[in-house]
Amino acid sequence: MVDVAVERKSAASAPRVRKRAGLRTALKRKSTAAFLMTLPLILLILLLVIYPAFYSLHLATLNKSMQRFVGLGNFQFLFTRETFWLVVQQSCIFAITAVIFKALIGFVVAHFVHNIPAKGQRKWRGMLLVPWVIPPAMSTLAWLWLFDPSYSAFNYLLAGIGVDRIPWTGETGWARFSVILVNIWVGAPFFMIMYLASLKSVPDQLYEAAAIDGANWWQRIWYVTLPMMRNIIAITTLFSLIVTFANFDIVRILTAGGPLDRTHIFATWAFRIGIEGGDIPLGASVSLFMIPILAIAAVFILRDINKRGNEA
Amino acid sequence: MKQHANIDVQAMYPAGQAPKADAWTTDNFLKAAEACHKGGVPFGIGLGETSDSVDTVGAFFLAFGAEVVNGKGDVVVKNDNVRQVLEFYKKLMAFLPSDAPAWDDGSNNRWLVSGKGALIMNPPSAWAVAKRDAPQIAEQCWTHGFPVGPKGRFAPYLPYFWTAWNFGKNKPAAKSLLTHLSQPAAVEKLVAASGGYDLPAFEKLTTLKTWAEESPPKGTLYHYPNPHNHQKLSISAAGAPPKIAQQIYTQATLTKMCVRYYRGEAMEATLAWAQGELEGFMRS
Repeated sequence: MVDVAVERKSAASAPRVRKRAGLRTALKRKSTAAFLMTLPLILLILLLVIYPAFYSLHLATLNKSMQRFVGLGNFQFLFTRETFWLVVQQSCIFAITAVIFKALIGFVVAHFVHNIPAKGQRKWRGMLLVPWVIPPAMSTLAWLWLFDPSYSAFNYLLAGIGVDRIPWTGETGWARFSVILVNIWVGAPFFMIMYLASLKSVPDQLYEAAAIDGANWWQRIWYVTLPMMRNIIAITTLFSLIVTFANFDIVRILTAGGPLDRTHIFATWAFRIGIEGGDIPLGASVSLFMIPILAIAAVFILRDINKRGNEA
Repeated sequence: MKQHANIDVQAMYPAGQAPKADAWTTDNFLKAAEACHKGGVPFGIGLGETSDSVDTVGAFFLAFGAEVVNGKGDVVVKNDNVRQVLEFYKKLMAFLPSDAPAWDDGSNNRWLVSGKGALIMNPPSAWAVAKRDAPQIAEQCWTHGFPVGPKGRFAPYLPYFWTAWNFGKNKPAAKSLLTHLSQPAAVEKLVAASGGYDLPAFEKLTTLKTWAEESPPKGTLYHYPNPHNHQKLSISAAGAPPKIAQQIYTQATLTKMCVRYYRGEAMEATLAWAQGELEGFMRS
């Protein structure tokens, strides 16, 4: 009806009408609606991620008192610091070890849960997700008490079987083990649930065909399950690698980077230098250093996914 | 300590009287640490990166005259006093819990309250917790001074200040409040409210009745505010220019030096590492 009314108006109003009709058409388009629906999130990301990211780029180019432009001077300074290279090494050890174990445990547990009859499966899924659902800052506090020098529950149990108390967070090796263990505990359920969803989407006919061909358990995993899960494994690994690399709360609460900086990772060391040490430009430079490392990992992992997509 | 090391801290620091602690030296401190370790109640001194650990190590560095950066901002870490204090800490650490390098500000409190340790280096907050949760432990606590080293007797000190915002809308009222809170009568009430834990920033207000009367045991806090100026109060690494001292404090450079050396690093390697760190703190 509106269109008819517009028809009767003068020729001068025609562009406005076209414009209004164009707007309506645009709004009817799925892509426009999708964009509008995601707009609040985009704005949030712009405000909380993009702006701080660019601001930290700006900060990283300033001197300690933030009064003078020093270009890449902060990065040059970092490259001369022994602790910086220690942090690079530790961040890689922390993230890679934790992600490998999270993926392995998630894969195994997902299979166990997948094989539980549907009736009781929901209960198990819920229970297994608990470590992932609890805010890590809270659960890590509980772990901190389990590792406590005076009241460690683990040491109490070990003493019961005649084993010496372990300095969980006091010795370099044990401290690294402890932070990685807690990270695995928190993150493995995420892998489990992603792998479980992926397992459920593998058509049963493929397993039936494999069984008819005489495939054993291992061959079914290797030739059916894994190829069908490849993309989800790659994406989950990348996502987890990014999150683990940028981890802060677990290390901060459990060891605060100690002993002797041997558990510091990028985020905790950036906080120590930038916020606690009052050298914000250097802290910003440390945190920005994560970007090239993660970008390289992302390129490799996503390139592989594209390749497979094209093959398909 | 009396039982295992034959050192009576109550006699050395009697309530209501000046300390008689000439024999409370770093050497005897070490002997006491060894005896208590053998007795199954080791000293609980943190070597982590939080303020209790940093404050304690800072006081010991001063007791040995160990300066890492001088007042002009020059790195002077490679000196014999530093070597001496590192040797001292190496001996001491052998008698401390093995995870002392991971301790935070709560660890030493828990160590004392758990009844596993003979001594901690802390304000009487651990005693206050023990008074509430483990009275039998609190009854055995006595707050006393630091041992004297070759260059004197130092104790940690962390001053905090009250301030009013420059842009505040009612600055006269803020100033009036601060003036009121700084009067002796108000200070006395604040000290009483904190159970003797808070120390006023006034040299002459160190003999308030709270510290004399708090118990158990009565007089346990008498020497906490340093009423006889028995020891010099100091902030860890404060000899260096403020911007560098702040970095030394925040990065816990002194405790890290002790731990590195204790864990088998060569003395010169530890000093070289420290020199590199300290030079990094000179950034402007």
